[in-house]
Amino acid sequence: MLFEYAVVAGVLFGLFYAFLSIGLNLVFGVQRIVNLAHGDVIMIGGFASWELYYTYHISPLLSVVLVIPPTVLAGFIIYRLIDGPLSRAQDPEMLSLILFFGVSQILEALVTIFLGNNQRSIPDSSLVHGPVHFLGQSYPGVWWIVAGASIPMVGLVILYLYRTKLGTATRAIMADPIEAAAVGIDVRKVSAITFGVGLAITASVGAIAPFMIGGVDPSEGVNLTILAFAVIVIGSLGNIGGTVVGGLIFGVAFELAQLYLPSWSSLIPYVLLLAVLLFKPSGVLGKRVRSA
Amino acid sequence: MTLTNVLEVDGVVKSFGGFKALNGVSLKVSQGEIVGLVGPNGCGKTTLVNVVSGIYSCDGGSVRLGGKDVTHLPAHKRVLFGVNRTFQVPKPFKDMTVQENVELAWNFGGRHGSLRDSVLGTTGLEDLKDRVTSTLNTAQQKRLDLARALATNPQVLFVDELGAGLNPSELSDLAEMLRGISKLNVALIVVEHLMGFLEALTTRVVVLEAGKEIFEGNIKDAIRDKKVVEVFLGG
Repeated sequence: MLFEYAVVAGVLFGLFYAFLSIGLNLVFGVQRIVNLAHGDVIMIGGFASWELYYTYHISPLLSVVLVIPPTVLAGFIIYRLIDGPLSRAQDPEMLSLILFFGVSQILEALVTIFLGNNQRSIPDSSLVHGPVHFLGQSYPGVWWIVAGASIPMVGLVILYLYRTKLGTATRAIMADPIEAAAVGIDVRKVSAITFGVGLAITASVGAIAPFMIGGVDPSEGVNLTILAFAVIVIGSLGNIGGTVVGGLIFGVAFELAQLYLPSWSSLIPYVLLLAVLLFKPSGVLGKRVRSA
Repeated sequence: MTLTNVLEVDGVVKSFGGFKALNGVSLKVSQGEIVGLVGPNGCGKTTLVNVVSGIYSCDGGSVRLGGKDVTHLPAHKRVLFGVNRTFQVPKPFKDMTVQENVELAWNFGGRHGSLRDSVLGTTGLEDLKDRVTSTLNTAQQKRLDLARALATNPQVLFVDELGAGLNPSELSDLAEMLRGISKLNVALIVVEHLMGFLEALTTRVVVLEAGKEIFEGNIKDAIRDKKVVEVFLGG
């Protein structure tokens, strides 16, 4: 029965991990930006959710939506600021690494200065009362709520990409920005919007992440970035569907490791990352090895 | 009948570091005309295509489309002004079907055109319209590249080495296709190494060497021109 428990918990966490990582993959897919501040954006979403809950009694589920508009706007502006230097750079991926490492450090420092470095948490009762029983096992109710919220959010990103004109343009840019420009797509504008959407999705998952990772604190960004990076590499860099698969593989592997090899479980992100890079560098859903 | 110049390239200069890839190249093309653009590898043909289509900005000179100065416009805006190109190595949007690729081009670049429904037929891709593009062979991908460019309703279309790797029968079909496109009043600048293929298409060629224009005129005269022969045969 413990095996079944680990698998179900792994699927629930896997859906959350997919939601947690999809913004990173979207941003990478469009402009090959390696956003090392990804985890810090999640952290800011967490603090926003904490503040909205304790100050205005707003449910974190509502905060998932409320953080989106300001983050889209912030992302759009940030992209416009960095687009020039990145497009002129000889190695834009390396520049983006350095740039967003700096952004990550600044965000962590600013949050520490203004909010302190204590971990904050939001009570489970803000989302649900009591556990959920499934297949004879009892699970924390918040796991089901967060996994349940992750499905429509990931679904919305996929719908955006496959069912809207802007999303189709985004996929074209992901395939090849020069060819996209040759069919009349304003690559700069669409990339800026996609960067904003990617950041917004990331802040959005932050609003409910404290329930899955035990709270929110200013220094959590690095670990969350590594986790998200592992998920998108496992699934396939630049492949949004791959993020869902990567999240599920990661979630189930992590929960099974916690069951059978608990002291080794924290190595799971790195072991999976290495295994994929060694044996299938293009990721589980990747078709070919990337040149970039 | 006086033909209007739809494309006027005047003294275009493009450098990469210390290397001058284009050094004052000029070119005029009329509505529905077919012009061959030839020269040895590295002479600047594709750089010229990239500069006119807006992929590269130029360091000097000007580009006018239908009388409007588009020198400083980005590539996607030039598409809306009526210039497009195919790529030497086509890269269709691989997780989309042939039809979706063409629809995308029509949606973003060619809304004012009426070519959307006919380009698949014109390029012989009607039967492949539901195929995902990653399953197409190179020749089919090249035709899709052409279809996508046509869907943006261009007045000027650069065709960059579309004939490379095709057999004589396929080349003959391609020539027929391009003649059909020019009859739709689309000016074609055909970048090609295959002089026989160009002879079947046009009488007018422009020859580039080391970023400069060394000949412009009748293709038969080009073949006899001393400078052109030197460039192609090494003297």
